[in-house]
Amino acid sequence: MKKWLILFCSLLCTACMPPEKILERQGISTIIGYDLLDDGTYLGTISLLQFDRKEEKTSETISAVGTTSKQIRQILEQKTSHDITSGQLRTLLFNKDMTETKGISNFLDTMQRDTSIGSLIFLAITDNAEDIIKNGNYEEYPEMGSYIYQLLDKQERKEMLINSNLQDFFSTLYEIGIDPTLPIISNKEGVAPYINSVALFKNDKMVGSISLKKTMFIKLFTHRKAFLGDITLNIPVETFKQKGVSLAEKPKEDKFNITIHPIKHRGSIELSTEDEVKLNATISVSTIEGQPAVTLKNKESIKKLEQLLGEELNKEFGDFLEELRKLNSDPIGIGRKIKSLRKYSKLNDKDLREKYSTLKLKSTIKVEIKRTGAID
Amino acid sequence: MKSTVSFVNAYIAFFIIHTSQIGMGILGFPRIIYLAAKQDAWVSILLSGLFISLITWIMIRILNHYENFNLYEINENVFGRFIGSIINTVIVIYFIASNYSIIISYVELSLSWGYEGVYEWVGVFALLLVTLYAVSGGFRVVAGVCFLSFFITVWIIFALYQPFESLQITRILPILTTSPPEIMEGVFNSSYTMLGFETLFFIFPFIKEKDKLLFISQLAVWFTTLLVLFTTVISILFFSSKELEKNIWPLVSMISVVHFPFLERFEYIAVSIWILVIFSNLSITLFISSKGVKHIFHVKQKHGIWIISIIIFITSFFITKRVDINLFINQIGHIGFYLWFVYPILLYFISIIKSKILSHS
Repeated sequence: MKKWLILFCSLLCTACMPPEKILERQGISTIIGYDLLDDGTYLGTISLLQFDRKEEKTSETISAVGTTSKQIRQILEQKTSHDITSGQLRTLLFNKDMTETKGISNFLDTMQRDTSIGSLIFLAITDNAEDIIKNGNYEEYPEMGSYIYQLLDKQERKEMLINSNLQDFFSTLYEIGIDPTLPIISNKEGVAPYINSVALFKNDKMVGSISLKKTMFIKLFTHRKAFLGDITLNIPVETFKQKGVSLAEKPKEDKFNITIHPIKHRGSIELSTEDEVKLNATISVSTIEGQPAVTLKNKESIKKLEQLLGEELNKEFGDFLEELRKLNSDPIGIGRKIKSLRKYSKLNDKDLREKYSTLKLKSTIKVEIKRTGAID
Repeated sequence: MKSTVSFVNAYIAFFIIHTSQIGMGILGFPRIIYLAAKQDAWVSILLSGLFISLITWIMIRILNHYENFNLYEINENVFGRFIGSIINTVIVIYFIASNYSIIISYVELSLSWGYEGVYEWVGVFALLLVTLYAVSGGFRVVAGVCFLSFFITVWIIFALYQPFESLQITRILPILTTSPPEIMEGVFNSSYTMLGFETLFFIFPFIKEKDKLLFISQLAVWFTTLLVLFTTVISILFFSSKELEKNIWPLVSMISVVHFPFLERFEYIAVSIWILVIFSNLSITLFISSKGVKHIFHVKQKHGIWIISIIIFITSFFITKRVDINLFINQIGHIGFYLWFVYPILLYFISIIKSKILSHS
């Protein structure tokens, strides 16, 4: 009896396998791009990895028109003999028009619903998704999807990009009091696509874009562990003189250029009075380049330089905050902080946005020079 | 007592109680409790833990009073053969239903994560066969299943270190803004997940060192409470509120962020491994219900196991839709609440009164 039961179980378990998946028959999609067409339908473009050794091409791109992402996929299936699978899907591209007018949350519903799609895929915005996927320049990678994934992944880990995967996007999109950001990828004839800037959102609609450099100000308050990216400042020599910082040699040009490498940072948002928010941040840096060379020996001059750098950054930050407020986009999460206070915990999205537009924002950024490299 | 009863050490009770509490419930629990108690869900969980701890104490008091009886025998002893049998039948039906709810919800989960297109009954059949086999081995095998399933699955908690990086502390703030009725609703809704401690009523006669059982069972109950508390707090901090309200299995969705260089989609492993977690649940509920059938109808336990399995298999054709499963689980949770949160207290007072009257006369 027992033996029969075990035998039966093992037969049953092997029969429970899902329909067989043979590698050569799989069309493994790595990237999908969506473009909005004039008549309100969408054009979906997909890049499939090719496994047939005899073929010279390593990938294939196909496109189809439809109204929902799964319908597009269905039509795509008509155009290939492979089974399109989305287990290796790494990037979703959205066309700018679509993000500005229609919003992308409708399209993301299926990505959340479909369990075969992981929550670590990247989202990005471009002018024309089809062109990017059909672009033939993708360095040494087998196809465009892998290239863009590596590009975004690398940039997120060690440079100036905010986490932009599906999970991060959703969690900021659905949270009241913070707006998501996504990278914008540009495409030029003859070169591989590159990251150009970062899109700002208001809810799920894109409202503007900022340079990569400015993402640092967002990360300062939202991601404690993230790397901010090196900061380059061009400070007029005049200001140096006013502050009394002595330089080793007289600069020939009228600008002093310095690049600092952030080591650690800490930012805090505080509601100090009814309608004033204080944004305080401290960044510890090491100086990695100065043009002309500056000697950082005496304590006094380091302190002055720190102050100067802090003020410069603060000025930029202030402008940035104004820019955000004009767009009524809040990627820093000031609204979220306000909502976490007992008094305001019942505010909804609309109230928070109203409050955000009337708030006084006071920022202070402190810079600490921790290291100066191998020389003073 | 008959001499065929197999004894186990008291510490085994820890694994039995704990593993029968943790099961399908915890996967969807953060959402269910969040819907009721919002960011103060942790208060509900702590209250619920406190309540369970109290009931466990009451259970031990009742059991010690009757020494080597399980709940079926106690019921007959207190209420007489007729009323006792009615109550016992309700309990047996509860355990069958709870076994059934675990099976169908796991089959639903595995069909959503990777086994799309497989017939439901295939999954139910496979699970039932394995459980049948385990329970046929008697109590010691069931205890062994619980013991092993604990150690094989407990490491999944450590995989949660990756979601740790994207926690937002502001999401749980401000604390204590939810009104007391909502928090109590959270306690009420948490019953399906927290239930399982009632197994103590049935395993009691099998335990060797009965004096240690109070401590061991409290340990098990609090360990479960803390584990549930931990996962819920992490889920609240990890998901934004709207997201948490949408996900059917927040824990699985959270695990989907976990990835290793050699393994990209950890959630598929987690979902498959979860079969071991529910295996102990299924074994223990089938064991208890078959014991009840044996007690009420005086049939052999072996036959009871087969009868119950066949009933579950046949009924599994009826509920296959998400909405129905949801409704069914809610009902089980509510019945379980009255049966195991309220009934032990009642039983305790009745048994006290009865023994007072008896000692008077």
